Amino acid sequence: MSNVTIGQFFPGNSVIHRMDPRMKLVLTFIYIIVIFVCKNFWALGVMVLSLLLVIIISKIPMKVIMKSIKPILIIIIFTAILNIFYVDSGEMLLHWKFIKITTGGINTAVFMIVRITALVVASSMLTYTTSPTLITDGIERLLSPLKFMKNSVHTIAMMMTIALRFIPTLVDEFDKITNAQKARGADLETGTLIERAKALIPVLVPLFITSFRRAYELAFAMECRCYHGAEGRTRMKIMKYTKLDVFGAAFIFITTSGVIALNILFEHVI
Amino acid sequence: MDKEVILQFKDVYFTYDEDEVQEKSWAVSGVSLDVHKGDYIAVLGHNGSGKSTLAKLSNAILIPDKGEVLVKGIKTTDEDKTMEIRQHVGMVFQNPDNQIVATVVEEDVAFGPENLGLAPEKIRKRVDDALHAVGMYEFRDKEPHKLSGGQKQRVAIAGIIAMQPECIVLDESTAMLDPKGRKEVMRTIKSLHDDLGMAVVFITHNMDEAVQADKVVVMEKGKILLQGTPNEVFKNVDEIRRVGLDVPQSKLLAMKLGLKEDVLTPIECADAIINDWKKK
Amino acid sequence: MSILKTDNLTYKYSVGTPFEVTALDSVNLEIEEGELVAVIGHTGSGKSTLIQHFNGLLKPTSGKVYVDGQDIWESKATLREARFKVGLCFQYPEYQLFEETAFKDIAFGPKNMGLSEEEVKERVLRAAEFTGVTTEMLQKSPFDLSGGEKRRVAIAGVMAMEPKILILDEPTSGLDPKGRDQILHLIRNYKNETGSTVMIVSHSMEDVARFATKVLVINKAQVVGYETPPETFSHAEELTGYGLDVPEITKVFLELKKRGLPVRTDVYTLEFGMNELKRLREEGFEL
Repeated sequence: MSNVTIGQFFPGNSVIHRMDPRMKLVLTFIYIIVIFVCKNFWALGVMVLSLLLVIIISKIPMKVIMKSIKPILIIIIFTAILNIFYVDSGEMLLHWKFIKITTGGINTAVFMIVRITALVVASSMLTYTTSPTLITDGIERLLSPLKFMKNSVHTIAMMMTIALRFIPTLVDEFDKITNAQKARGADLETGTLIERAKALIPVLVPLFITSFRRAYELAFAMECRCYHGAEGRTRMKIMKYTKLDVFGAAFIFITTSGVIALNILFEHVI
Repeated sequence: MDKEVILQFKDVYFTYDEDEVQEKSWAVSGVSLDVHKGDYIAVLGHNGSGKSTLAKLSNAILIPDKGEVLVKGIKTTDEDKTMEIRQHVGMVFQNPDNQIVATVVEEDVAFGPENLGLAPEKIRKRVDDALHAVGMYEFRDKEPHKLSGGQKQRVAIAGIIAMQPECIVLDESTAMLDPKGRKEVMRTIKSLHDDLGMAVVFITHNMDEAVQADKVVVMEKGKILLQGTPNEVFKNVDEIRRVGLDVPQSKLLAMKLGLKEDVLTPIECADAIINDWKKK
Repeated sequence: MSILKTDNLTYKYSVGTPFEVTALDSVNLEIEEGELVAVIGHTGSGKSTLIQHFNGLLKPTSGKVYVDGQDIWESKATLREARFKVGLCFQYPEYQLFEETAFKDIAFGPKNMGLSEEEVKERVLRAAEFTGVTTEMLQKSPFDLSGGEKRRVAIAGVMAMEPKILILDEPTSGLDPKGRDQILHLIRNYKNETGSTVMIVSHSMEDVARFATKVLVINKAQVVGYETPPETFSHAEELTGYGLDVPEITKVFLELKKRGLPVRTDVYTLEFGMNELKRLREEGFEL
């Protein structure tokens, strides 16, 4: 169990992996906005192509990408069905009692499927190519110029780092306690939902208690290492924008311009 | 022998009781102790003897109720200088899991120097040096939860020495480790003392680890019961056993055989027996 | 008949992945009733994996585990029976306490066995007596007890199930010498009075030498020895090769032998050592 890896980081050394996390955060954010700006299939096509290009460069296997879509499959299907039945425009393809299916409905449904998929894959690309620590650090540094909230940004980032650090430890602990209570005859696998929830008490109570103890000890240890919040704290690793980041920004800029042009040139689907 | 005093306890009293009772139960009661530059002191005592409280008093985690603790002449009551005190006296705790903050080894070691506000290049150098000193440099980009107990504890030690303290206090830092982890940590501590000249205060209830020190202090009921070189201290077999501690088996055997020589380890014991045999 | 037996027990982690690890490799062992077995082996040797097979927490990849002559994986019922026949107390068991009072916590196991209320109470009191848990402590919240007391309450929780085999994974870790002795003595008393079989995983060779009747040595996923303590410690060099320690007195005698004194090297207690040196003196051996 000590091999748990947090998040969906997929280590690698591609150009995408090596980009500055701050730039990746900003560009992903812009990409998501532009996805919503797309009004027709031409524009959306440009977005999909650019995303495919990024995937190829990053060397993340398609199989891994597919995994990121799995959890939202239901949402995609649901949205598609809703659009098919409710959008009433273009040619009528089928009319049976209250059900109407039109070309407009199908177009919108396909459009929505592509849009949501691109959105999810794009944000997954960020987490696939950037370790959770770097994402946390990136957010902290991006927001640090906002002086009035510097302390709270630092606090939240610190909390995220500690959470990332302790999740594997707590997963291990959960396993250990579960085994110990099973050895005392606790039955965690059978029974109704309520019975099973109740059966978890002997596992969760000790888990909470140890977590509190850990938090208390960690606080001591941090104080002993002169921790006193964001004030006067420096960092070992400096984040630097490189040529890669300029290329990345240029790439997104060109894509965005393309999308705007195609939006104007062609008829809107939605 | 006039070495600089780094850490000084002057008739220190401390209690966890907060009520204003007449008969307070002192966790530490009238302890005076000097730690000089380059000392290696083991503090021995059973659970509840006050040895961990003593550790926490040394870097202003706890403040004495009576008497004073001085770190390089600074009183631990001086709140403006708490940071300076903690930089001079670093502390390593029992559970390695609960003192590692970051998700990558080198970033954890950097945590202390970062808090001190050092320049990035300087932090990098200190982190690399500290990791080399504890022999964990090859593990610098690993995730801490994938390391063994002994390795984690060495990372924790590196995190302290990266702040370049003059004294390192280890509060039962081997208690949760397996024998291999213990040996790793004990070797690391020895090299901090021998190679880096750091003063070491090592708190333990394990006599095997205490014999490695230059000086042993035995605590009981918050007071110092015995102190001296390991040999002087472990001669008091009955007294040590009375307070729930052990004496190294080699020492016991040598004493039962009536050998006069100073014996602490199996090798010394064997030598002493052979010498004695030749005499007779 | 042996109380515990394994037949070509093999266990692999992450089967079918590149990370496949053989944690136990065709382990055959037979343990007689009433022994106090010390299990030794360095971290990662497979000893923790082994003991978790004895009460069915882990299922063998291949091979069989017999408790009291019964294949524990034959059916659901035999597995459940094994859970109660083999009591397993993990390392740092005090971190598993969860009830409002020590009494209720000790009663958790017996209650899960479906015993009557009186029977549960009887068993709790009996286990409390074995572990030196006082009536006053029983009424307290387990979290208000001292470290050593918590440990004893946790051990009582397993003893109260009155298993035929009691297995304790490093029951003394983190305790000071006095606390360690207390725990070891109570375990020995329990064994002597109930006649049950006890297994202790230990890193302390001194404790093994003093308390065990048999020593099970595990190295690299295999059982490499199952003998009495003197027999085990007579292979001191092998033990060191497995990354294990030997008792300090044994080390002294190994050193003496190196220096030319013809002593036995299976000496492992102080008294034994004194006698051995006395014998040599009386024989008038000279260097």
